[in-house]
Amino acid sequence: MNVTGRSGPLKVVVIGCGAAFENLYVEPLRRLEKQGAIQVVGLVDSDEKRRRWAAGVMRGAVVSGNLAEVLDRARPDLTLVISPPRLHAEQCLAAMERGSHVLCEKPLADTVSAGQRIVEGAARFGKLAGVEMPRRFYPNSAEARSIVAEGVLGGDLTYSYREGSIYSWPVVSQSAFKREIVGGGVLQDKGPHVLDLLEWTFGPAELLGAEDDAWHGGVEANSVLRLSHGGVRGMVQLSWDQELNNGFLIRGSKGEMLVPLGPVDFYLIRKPGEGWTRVQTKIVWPTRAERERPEPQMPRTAYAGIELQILHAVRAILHGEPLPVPVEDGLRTLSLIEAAYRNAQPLQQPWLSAEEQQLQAERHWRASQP
Amino acid sequence: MMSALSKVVVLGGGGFLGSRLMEKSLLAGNSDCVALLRSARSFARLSRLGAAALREDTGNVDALAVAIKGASSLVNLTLGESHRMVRETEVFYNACCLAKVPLFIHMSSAVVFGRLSDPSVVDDSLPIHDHWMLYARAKGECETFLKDAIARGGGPRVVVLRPGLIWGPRSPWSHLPARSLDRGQVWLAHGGRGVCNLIHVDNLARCVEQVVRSESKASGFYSVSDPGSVTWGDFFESVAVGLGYPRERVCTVPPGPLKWSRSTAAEWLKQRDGFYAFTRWLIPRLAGETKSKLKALLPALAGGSYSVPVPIDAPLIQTEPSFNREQWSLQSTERKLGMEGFVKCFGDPTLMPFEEGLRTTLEWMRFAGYGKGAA
Repeated sequence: MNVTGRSGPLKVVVIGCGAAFENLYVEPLRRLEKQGAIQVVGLVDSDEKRRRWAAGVMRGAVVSGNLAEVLDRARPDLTLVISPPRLHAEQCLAAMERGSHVLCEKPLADTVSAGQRIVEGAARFGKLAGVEMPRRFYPNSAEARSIVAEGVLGGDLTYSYREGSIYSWPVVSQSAFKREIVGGGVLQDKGPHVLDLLEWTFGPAELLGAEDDAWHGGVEANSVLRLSHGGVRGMVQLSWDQELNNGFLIRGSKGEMLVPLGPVDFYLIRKPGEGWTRVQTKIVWPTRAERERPEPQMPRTAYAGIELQILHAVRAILHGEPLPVPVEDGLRTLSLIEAAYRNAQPLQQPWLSAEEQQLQAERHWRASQP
Repeated sequence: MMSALSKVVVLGGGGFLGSRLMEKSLLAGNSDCVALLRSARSFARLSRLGAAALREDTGNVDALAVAIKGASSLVNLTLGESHRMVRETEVFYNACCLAKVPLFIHMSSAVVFGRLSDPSVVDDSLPIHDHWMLYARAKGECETFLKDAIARGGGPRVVVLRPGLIWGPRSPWSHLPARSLDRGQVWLAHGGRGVCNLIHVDNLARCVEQVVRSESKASGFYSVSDPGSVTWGDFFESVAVGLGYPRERVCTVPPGPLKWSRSTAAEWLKQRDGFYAFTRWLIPRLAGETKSKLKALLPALAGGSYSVPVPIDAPLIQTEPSFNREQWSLQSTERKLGMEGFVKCFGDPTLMPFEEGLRTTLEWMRFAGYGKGAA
């Protein structure tokens, strides 16, 4: 018997069976089913083709396009919301209203006010509500946080966080790039992960400046933010259309640390004037749902972060452990992103001619807005 | 799909060159230049411009012909997989015939002539048919198809452009030297004296615009490159000095044969005709997670995993020279073909010199996080 009042695996419903479900969630869910932590009992998607596909992948689950019907029939303990962000608020609230805890894909919602409704709903219905931020489970990210907290790098901390690559997510239509549908471009896409990680590492952030390269009617492929976290200042650069010198570089008076993007099991650290020393991470996380048999291990790939976050939501439900990323944290990053869009200035691109830079500024999407 | 009455249709408009061409065209106020994409994700590079793009199955002649009907030219910038390149070029050409598009501009590559050690090679020469590189063989086969098509007549005018390495802001060929220098010692083959056959992305865009605007009725094959001549040593040293890396990071080995290594072995495997057929069969059968694990594992097996940067203020770590065959081959290039044929046919596009191209590229490299003083 567990704290939910019954024995056996937790019942899970998944809302949204698109590319994220297929590429990121199916394998972790299967593994968690195999260890007996969960059972996927319901799948919801508005697209019939996706429903048919999902039914073949997660056999035995109730599959429907009608969310209320699935929730009523399956009565889940935990609902994973992996649908487009503009649907998150309604779907999270519907699940919580019917007694389910929720774990929502990033971004928490498409607007701050929608995110606020989820936060309020969790309090009203007395349910756990978390947002998927698997990067907190990357061992090198967690080590960076400890190193900053312990003051290993000294004072006067600054950082740069660069993440740029050619967009490769298997979207099916150009609507994935429409502001009115997805809310924005690369900042809306990668920003929640990155900003959550930065706030987790350095504390709440204040926006000092934002630049992007979107024209009227477009969404940004490049975004640069300048942030302050109390005494720590930093720069975030994100791109969909080019490789950057990727990495999370933290500089202090006593040394520097570089967290590579991609590999999760090591980081680099150095003192001024010296070369980098590669340090293998040692952080481990419970990998099983049972309190008595956590079997801690170190994740070696980024994919493990998703599985660990679902598992930790299960442990939070079963054992009363804290949720890794409560929706309040997701709301804070959403507010930061919204502020960045509100204050966006044209991206400085000094490689362009003066005339092209002027034209870019005139066409910037905020140019004609208050 | 939107109706297509556009003047210039850019196939592969969501690529590196295509998106810059689209950006320049829109900034110049030409709204009659439209990108045609094969996949929705290619729209990411164009998404910021707020311009619509066509999306079409480029394997289907009839559908493509409908999409490009009314266009005055079709510019093929697609960078398809080598095994599909020839078939796609045939489809594009046949669609132009069907839709009566009068001009087909096809982007080939200077790589079809290899190291250009044969002094008799000119613009009209035939590509090396047994080139070691799959990509070069495929580009060569496309040229052969188009040469035959020109000879047969009855179709659109065909202009084949042969650029060298396309550099400039956002280019992988600009990212490469910046990243290599950031990682420490850079080894160049052939004493660093091989010809670095560069063309700046804006120069190449100008060449395409020049062909589109030209009243020439000619079909043919034209080499295009930056003015002047630079060596690989010139290129890397200019980048090193410009970004504030010690010049000593650029090292050379004398001319000599290529040594076998894990990276050359991996490269050899990838150049086999059956390699892509195998990966095409395998990839859809793998879970996303397995694909990710393989992606992480393969570079390590091929002899190169995550390379640790060497800070500018830290002592340089000595490394052994190592080349894959592509690097060795490109860095041993003996000459490049000039643009005389292009200029004679289409006029002088007035291209920016290397120094100006370098200035723009260094600005971009700093933006991307390379060199002294990068934030």
